[in-house]
Amino acid sequence: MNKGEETEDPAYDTRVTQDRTAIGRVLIACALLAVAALVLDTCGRLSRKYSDGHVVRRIERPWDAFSVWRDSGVQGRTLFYFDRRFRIEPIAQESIEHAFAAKGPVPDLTERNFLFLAMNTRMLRAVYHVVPEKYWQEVKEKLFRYSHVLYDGRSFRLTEDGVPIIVTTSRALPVSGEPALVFLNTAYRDDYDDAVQAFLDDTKRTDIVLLWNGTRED
Amino acid sequence: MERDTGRLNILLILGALFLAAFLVRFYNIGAVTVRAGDEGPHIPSASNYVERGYFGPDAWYHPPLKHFIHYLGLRVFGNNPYGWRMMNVVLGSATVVMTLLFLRENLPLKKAPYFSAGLLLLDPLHVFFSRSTVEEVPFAFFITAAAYFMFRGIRRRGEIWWLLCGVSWGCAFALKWYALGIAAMAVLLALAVEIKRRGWSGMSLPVTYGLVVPAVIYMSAYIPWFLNGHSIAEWFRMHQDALREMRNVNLERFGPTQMLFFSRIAGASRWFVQPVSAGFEMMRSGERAAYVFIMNNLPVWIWVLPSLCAVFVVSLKKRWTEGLFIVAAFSALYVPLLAVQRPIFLYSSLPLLPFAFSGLGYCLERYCRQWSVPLFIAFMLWSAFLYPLTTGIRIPLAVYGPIVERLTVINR
Repeated sequence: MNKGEETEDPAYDTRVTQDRTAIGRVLIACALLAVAALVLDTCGRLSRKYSDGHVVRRIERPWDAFSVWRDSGVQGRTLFYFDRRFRIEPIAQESIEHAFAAKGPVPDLTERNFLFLAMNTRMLRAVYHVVPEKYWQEVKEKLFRYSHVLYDGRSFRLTEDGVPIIVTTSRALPVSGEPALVFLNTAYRDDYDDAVQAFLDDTKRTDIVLLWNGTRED
Repeated sequence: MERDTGRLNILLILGALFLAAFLVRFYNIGAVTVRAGDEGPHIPSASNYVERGYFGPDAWYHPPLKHFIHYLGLRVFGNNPYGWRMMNVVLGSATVVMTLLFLRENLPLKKAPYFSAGLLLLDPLHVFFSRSTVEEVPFAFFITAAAYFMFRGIRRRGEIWWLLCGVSWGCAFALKWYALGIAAMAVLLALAVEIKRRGWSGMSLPVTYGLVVPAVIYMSAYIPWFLNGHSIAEWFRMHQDALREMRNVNLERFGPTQMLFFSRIAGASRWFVQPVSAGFEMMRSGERAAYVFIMNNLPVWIWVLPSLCAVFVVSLKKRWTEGLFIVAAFSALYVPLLAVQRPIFLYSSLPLLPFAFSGLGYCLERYCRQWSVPLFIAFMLWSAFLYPLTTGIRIPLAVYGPIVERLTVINR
């Protein structure tokens, strides 16, 4: 058949139509997959909620952080937690549902479970536990005992119910494209280097900085 | 007219089968009024995930569709034993019906589909878990449904069957990752058939509905998680974390009683060749007692592997694609469970049962001929005899004592 000449073969026409339908079907399906991924990514990023301005506050008890975050309306955030130790324990299901449904004090909220509650009520999606350099060796020895903890040479990665917890030092602070929440136990402030102070003061990298006058556990 | 009567008859049979399976699974379902076993973490995780995108307290590394299923049950039936368990009652009963539909479509025999569906209807393990919240029950439903819709799509060439097939594969994958093996095998089979029939343009249906649509469904199951501020890059990273976490599951994570219980039902290689059981005594008063056992049904299950071997040989000799699919589907689900390093428990055998009993039903009719019906009835009577042991019904120890003695009672 010469180029440009029209065919009168019905089988050929059917095959061409079938091919076009097949290509169209695959293209539409792939477009659907790409759109689904794009929509989920965009919805995820848009559901992050930040504070209106840069806030530095002192809190009396560690778990007051939960009320500050809740009152500021933050959601889907990354927390940088500066302290020697990091404690996380579950809180009763009733407290979670109460905290999610109503404002006001949350029953049984303590130093050990306020981060768990914040993860469970959409506030936190990742936590960086920044350990003072002088305690890093001790933390490393402890975390190397667990087979499910991943070490990349600079930091450890573990999870709490799927929420990533990255244990690191100020030397390996990640560069984040979004402002972070900060919790600092001021008892260890002098153990962190100048990079941390610069990080705390940087209004583009942090929005709510909470300072707790804790005690040292040396 | 004759065709309409035939269609009515099959609808009546399917309805009766669903009703029978439902009654067997529903009876006495509210007797245990506290959350038992996995119901403890499953129920709070349903609202935690659907309302707040949080995976805990259930094992977070499993795909999240089960939370939607549990949540639907809670919304429809309330936060009570019915709300916790009804979704599995319904989907477990639907699996029996779907098994019949799948085999009517694919077996060249008349009685075999009914034998297979009947064996599943009264199987003690399937009955037990259809009265709980474990995700293997909906998983078994979705893979059987996907296989049925796929063959329907290949034969009838209707796009709606392919769409249903894609949605079912997506749901199966959003319940358990080990759907990947059977789905990949099914897509390859569909590709081979469609390319042979239509040339390269035949690839579009299996690619669209075997790969792309399931991927969209799978990703959509993570919507509540994305709404916690996560990006697509974090989604891929979360999957790496989940795989690492899953590889590190071991029995030492459980408490002493749980450890004893799970150690008795661990080991996929034992399922079809050894008795496997673990259970609890619920009450004992004089000569009567009540138990709940998780157990295989060895007098029936022991015939599964020889039957599937027979189906495999027949399939090769006669170039019977559907027979090969049954064996391959069983193997695609079973072999990864045999190979994996972490402990695998008896309830993971649930998705195998529709395919296991397909082979058994086929061999009953094909090789046992005039003995097929009496043997089937004997299997059913034995399964019915075991029914009280999986449902907490009081039993006379004079009759059941010798069997109970051979089973593992954790709190004896």
